Amino acid sequence: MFTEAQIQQLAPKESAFKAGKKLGHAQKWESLARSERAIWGSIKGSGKKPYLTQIDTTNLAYKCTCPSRQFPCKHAIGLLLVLSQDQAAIAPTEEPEYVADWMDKRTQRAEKIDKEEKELTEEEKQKKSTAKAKRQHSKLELTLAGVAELKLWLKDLMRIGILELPNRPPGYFDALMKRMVDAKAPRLAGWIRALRDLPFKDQHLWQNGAIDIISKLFLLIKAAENLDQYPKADQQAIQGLLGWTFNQKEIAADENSRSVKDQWLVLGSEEEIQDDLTILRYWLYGLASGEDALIIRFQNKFTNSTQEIPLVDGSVTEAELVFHPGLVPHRAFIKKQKEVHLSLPHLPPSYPAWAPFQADFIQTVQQDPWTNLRAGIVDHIQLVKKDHALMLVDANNHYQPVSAALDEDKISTLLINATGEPVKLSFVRRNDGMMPLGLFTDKSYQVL
Amino acid sequence: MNNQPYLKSLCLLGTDRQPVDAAKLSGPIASLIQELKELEPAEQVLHALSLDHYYRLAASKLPQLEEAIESVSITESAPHAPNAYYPVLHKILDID
Repeated sequence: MFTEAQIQQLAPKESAFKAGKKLGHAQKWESLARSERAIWGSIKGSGKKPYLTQIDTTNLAYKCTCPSRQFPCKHAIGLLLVLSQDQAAIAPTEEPEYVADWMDKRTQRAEKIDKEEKELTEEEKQKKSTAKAKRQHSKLELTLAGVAELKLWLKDLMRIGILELPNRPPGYFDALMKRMVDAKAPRLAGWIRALRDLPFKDQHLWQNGAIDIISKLFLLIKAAENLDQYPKADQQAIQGLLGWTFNQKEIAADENSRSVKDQWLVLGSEEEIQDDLTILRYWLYGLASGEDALIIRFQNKFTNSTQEIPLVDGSVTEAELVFHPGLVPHRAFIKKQKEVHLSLPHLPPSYPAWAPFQADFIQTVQQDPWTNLRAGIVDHIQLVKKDHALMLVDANNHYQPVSAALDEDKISTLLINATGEPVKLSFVRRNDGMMPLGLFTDKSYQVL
Repeated sequence: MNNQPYLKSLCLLGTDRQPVDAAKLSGPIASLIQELKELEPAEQVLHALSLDHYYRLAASKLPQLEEAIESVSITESAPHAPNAYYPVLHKILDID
């Protein structure tokens, strides 16, 4: 069952959540009912007829007859809140026609997409593949020209020395970032942005940070220069690192793509705003496989987030994830979702201490030198403060520093929960330390 | 010998002000610079930085409470056959 905090996360705005909360009581609704796959209700609004609100509870989706442009609207939020309080109080019943129609159409739409893909003739497939190869060739030429410019820029930087970096105006970086975007290599622009945004007030941090970025960036330039020498799967992985995007349907249809069916716990998420773009990162962890996966979603004023299955921190989604091409595949998307569990069915597998996690991470880096932001779960962790720095200490007294990016609220929650008895902790490994995401208590999971 | 301080100083000051001196390096990084001596000094440093970064990661030890955090020398801890340790890295940098 969703918690109030999780429903708040689904709300498009704080005001929408507050308005929905007022409707989050069964007595506010004229009727309420549910089936195995949906919940629905009618509620009096400002119009003549009551609004009909319905929620697909297996593949979370909402529909309401109200005129609101917010999604989910306050009625859907209210209905979710009613469901979160006492699901058992709403007796299962047969779906009325309008609910059954909507749910059936959703199922049929998913099946139709699968069918359309399978119905292409061999000739059509060949034509499509030739056109794609031609497009990719032109794109690669464009990208490699951008990579050559970036290499020249890096060599110039090495000649003059990075001590000059803090004195450079933003335009020094921004012009190159634009060039990388034009070269269809937006992730290279991301590396330049990271150089521009280094914490120049902290000498140790920015200098080591710059060297770290330059090392990885140069390695990526070399990989791009020699792209044609790699097997196809590695080529795609490197193209992905440069910022090429791949069609999810094509990845899903590719027999070499890796997919994993599991119950995926959403360990946590973070939001990053870059100009007009919001980047949402969700860390998922397979309850059976013990694998971590990263789902990245992008939102701007033109994107319609209603097309995607919502992910809620702390929920468990029973789904098949397909992984993007990668030297060690990590980024994924949901291919098929069966059900969302709102509580943890069982505890996930975890590392007993930091050492085996570190060993696994180094092994991953040996295969993919650009690996970053890997999530994990380690047992028996205590939070310790040493010389004003926060550290996560395991049962062997080994420790990892806490990332400086962890905000005050989360530090407080950690201090309350992880300074006495050791805890099972989930985290993301960042360059400057571990970013705690949540804690396991008995059979439940608490997101920080 | 830990190569990090010298590589860092090259990186900070730039190769125009501080020429690359292979004698100040050791282990696989020194061999790499010898191997790449035909390249411009700036590109030699970029190669060396990339390699050193990952070698240090492979050789890093978890810090223990009540113990100072110390950087680990590559020559002390890196395996004798580093190309077997980081095959992908060596392939990308095109070195033996």
